[in-house]
Amino acid sequence: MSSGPLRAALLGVLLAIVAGVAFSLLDRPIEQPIAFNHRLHVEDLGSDCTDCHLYAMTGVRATIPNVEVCADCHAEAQTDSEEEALLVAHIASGDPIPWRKLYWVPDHVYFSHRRHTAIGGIECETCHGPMGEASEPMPRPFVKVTMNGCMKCHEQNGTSNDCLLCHK
Amino acid sequence: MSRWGMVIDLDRCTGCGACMAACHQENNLPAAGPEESSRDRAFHWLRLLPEVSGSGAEVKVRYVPQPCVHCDDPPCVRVCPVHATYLSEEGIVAQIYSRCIGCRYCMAACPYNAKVFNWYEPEWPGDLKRSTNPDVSLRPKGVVEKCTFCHHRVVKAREETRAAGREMRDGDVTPACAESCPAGAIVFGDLDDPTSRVSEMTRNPRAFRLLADLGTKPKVYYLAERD
Repeated sequence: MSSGPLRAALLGVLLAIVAGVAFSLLDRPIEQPIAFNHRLHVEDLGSDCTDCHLYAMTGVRATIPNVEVCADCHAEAQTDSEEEALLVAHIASGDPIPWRKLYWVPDHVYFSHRRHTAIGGIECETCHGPMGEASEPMPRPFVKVTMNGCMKCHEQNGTSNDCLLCHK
Repeated sequence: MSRWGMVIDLDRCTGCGACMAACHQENNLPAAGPEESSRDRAFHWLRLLPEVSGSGAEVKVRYVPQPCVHCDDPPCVRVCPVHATYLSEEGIVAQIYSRCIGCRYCMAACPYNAKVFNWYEPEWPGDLKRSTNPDVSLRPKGVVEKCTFCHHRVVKAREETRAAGREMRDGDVTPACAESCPAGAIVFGDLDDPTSRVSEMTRNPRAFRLLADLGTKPKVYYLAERD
């Protein structure tokens, strides 16, 4: 009889450990290979989002810039920053930078940037948050992408919430 | 708002099967090998139904291409317990795979056998997976799937026309089956636009619909063969 509560307690502790490990594995912060400074590029130097995310207004995917885009300005080092030195080395070797995606939608969702930006007139900040103010890579998205969020915005803007518009 | 429909002219159809092949490629239907096919495990969103008449030297075989007929009163929608299949605003009977629980009630309800079930995890041998269409999801094991009138093409066409600052026109959307048909037997368009080609064809005296007496109001019309 006395081992009953002990067993239950042990099981509880074990479950808590498993849940904790699972949660930490699922919610790991996103680390980038180079500490890109959005604030420096956007606020201080006045770049537009589309200067680097080339297809944010015209394509389905905005695209994450890679060495060929960065090389436009950074073929040679412009500062003595260690992070820029990493970038210059990538450009020199031609190896793609293994950037990690911060925002993504599941495979069964069709999301077109053009449909929302150029056609819908929505600002990048609406879904991405104030990325231009981030001086270090964000470990998690500013705005959590959820179906509820999409549907709420559609409702507010008088856009249809027909499943087929977004689900493929 | 458009109400999409299709007309298939049986006089023009030669039964070549290009529509079936194009549908497979466009909609990421996995290819079943000869062994799987012989066990009746191959499935299609668009089938060629053989129709044999006469016998001996007088035998005549023709094929009737049959996609989902996208009923305006679809029996499959009524029985779906989770709203995974529904009639969209534009008349497309949709299947939302992430909602489907695989109960197959819709398959039992469909009088056209237009729906298929993924009994197995789809296999993509070698590099075939790389050739899949990114606009169409890869369905997992345990869900029902069906022809969608290539709705991803509708979505893209609307985006193109809005970007160009104009309204949709007849012929802006062509599903893969219609695009691939060498005889031009499959025509797709807006049934609510009286000037669309598809609308004109439905007024042809040769026009008929499969199992029309069931009252499901299919939006796929056929033009009967002339004698």
